[in-house]
Amino acid sequence: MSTHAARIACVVVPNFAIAALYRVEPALRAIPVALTDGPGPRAAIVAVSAAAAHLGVRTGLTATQGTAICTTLTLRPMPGAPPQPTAAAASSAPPASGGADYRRAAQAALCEVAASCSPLIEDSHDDSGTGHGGLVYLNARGAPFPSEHALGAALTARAAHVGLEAHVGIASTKTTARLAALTGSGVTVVSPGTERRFLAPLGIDFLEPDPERAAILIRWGITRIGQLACLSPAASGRRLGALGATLVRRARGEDGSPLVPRPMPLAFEEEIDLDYDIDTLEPLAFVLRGCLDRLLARLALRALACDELRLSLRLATQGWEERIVAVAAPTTDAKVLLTLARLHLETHPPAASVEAIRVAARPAHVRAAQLDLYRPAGPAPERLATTLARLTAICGTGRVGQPAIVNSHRPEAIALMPFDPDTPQPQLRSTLPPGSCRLALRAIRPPRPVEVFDTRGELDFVRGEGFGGRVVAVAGPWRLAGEWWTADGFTRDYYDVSLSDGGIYRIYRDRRTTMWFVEGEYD
Amino acid sequence: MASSAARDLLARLGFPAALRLGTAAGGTPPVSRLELRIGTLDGALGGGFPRGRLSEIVGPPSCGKTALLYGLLAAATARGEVVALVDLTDTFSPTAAAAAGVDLARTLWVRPPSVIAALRCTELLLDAGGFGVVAVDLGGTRHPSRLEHGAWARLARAVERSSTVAAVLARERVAGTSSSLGLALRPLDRHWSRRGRGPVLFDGFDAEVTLVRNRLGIVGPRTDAVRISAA
Repeated sequence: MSTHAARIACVVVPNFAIAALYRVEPALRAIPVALTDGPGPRAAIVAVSAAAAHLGVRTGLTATQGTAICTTLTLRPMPGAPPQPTAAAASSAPPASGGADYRRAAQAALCEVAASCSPLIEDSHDDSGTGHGGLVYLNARGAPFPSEHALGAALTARAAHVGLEAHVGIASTKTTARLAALTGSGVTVVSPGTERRFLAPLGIDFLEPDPERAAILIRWGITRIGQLACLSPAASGRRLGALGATLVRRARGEDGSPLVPRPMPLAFEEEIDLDYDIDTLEPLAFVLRGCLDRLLARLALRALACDELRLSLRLATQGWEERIVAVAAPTTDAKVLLTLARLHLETHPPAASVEAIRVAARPAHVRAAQLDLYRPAGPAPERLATTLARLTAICGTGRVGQPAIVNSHRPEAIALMPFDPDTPQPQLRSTLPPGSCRLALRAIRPPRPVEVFDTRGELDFVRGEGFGGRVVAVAGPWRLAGEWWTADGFTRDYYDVSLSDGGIYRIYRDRRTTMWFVEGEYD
Repeated sequence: MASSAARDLLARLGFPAALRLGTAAGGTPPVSRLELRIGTLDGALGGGFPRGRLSEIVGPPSCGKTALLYGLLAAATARGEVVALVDLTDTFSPTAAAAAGVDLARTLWVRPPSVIAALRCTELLLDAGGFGVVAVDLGGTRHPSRLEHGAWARLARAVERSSTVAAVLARERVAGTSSSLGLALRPLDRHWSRRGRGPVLFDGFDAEVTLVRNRLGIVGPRTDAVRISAA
């Protein structure tokens, strides 16, 4: 690459509104499409696809005129247009609209494409709505590519990866780079010092002069940038004002406006307004899949993964409803995220049909699995997350996890924690001698009441649900008392009894209620 | 010419009638095993519980089958493996398991609501991969034999794709021909003691383990009495 003057790359998505629509609805690429400024037959067409333009549909026509010219024309309201006034109108030809702006996500995706090649980028679109949608500048100097052509090719390929067909212009000034991108196809590189020659044949419209000065220039017989560049900036300034002088300098390829890089927020959000309300899971999952694919494509450009999914659903009756779908480990797998989202929706179904979906991903760096030389590899974090979600869906909340010992004297106290085998936990030290096997107690939860018959304090017979018999041998009693400082305290006399049915059980007598319970079976 | 070529080939490869199945070059790869290091059990099992196979641990109440299962989980977690227990009857005791040497931090405890759910959970765990042991505790479920044989066959196929020890604990054998190993436990002597004038204590019992099914070796060997002790 050249090492002298500034080099600026401009990434442009032609017909941006239509391109952004294609990004969320790829099936529309095959048919003529037009965007209107609102619902209804009198809405004006504000953008048309190449296929529609080829068939004679133009901007400025009404929706009715457009469909008269092209019967197969598909109309979509421009994002931000007023929504359908009534449900009855919604059932007529144009689909429902309003709310979610897919252009915002497309512009963010374009910025991420640029940010993946250079840290210094200027987003021409801001929140105030001024500037150009579908246009991003970036610093082409120092980009890690062997040539400017390679940088341009990478930008177009990455834009295609996020669903946008972009053109790239690379030049020494912003104006030249933008015009190179707008007038060329694919990648256009204007070498340093050749800007004036490149701009000369282009019409002055490309410099976007204000109507008053444009009329003056046409009256002077200036229609090409090359003709304008022949004028003196100082003389033009005297006749056309400061803007006229700037116009001439831009025509000469001497644009002095610098690249104004802004920090890119790491916000990854995709949204879609549904044509029709969805009230079943399958079609919702289908739409979600598209959102997740687009989201993950954007994350991949920044070498990031999704750490948490925020799912917002606009319900027909209750407005926006937000859900957090936890992800056990950062993942770039759309199937995993879709499964988690599906399971979440299955366990917590929306209260009403869904009109719009917004999916936001919390970005995180992919955690490299640190393998241990001496320990076998456990389950892959991503698969484990999906499996845990599925197990929870089958078993219910609070029934899947890592068992934990509770700091309590109550023998039946247990706890379940989120399963994370990589987090070390305090471990009860086993006093088991090598080569032997520790007696295990199969807990009966909660302890079940039993009938105990005794003769002068000697246990004779025990009868409970599913077991019972004469007492063959008995150990105990030993007393366990605890939590006496609370209203729920306990005092129990414990026995181990071997019954004639072959089982050995741990039973206790609650001294407060004098009732007998079986706590477990030795096995 | 053709017949002489065929004769040469047959001479090199062997005549069809002389071929014996299972003698191909390389043969069946040896089955990896998980050692328990409990008494003479590993010797009777041929080195431990087979990985990638379905095993059953069965026996009447208080025969030591749960102690053996905890021993299996402890052996796996001691090697740093992650284990899962599908506990149908919700009888898992974290305290008892920890005392038996099971590392609870590497144990996933799943409590399904039904037998069908238990099998589904087991299949999911086997498909996830990475678990050293996946155990299903059917406990004293009364009619596990009602389960379709297809479910066990599916589990057996799932475990064959992994290097996991899949163990089923039940009163009696339930997996039929799908299991590769069947261990039946029988209680022997029970041990009670009294120290001084204190109360009688239950010290544990001895159990005998018999290989009632073994597709990887011979059937019938019994272990010496395995001591299952309270302390």
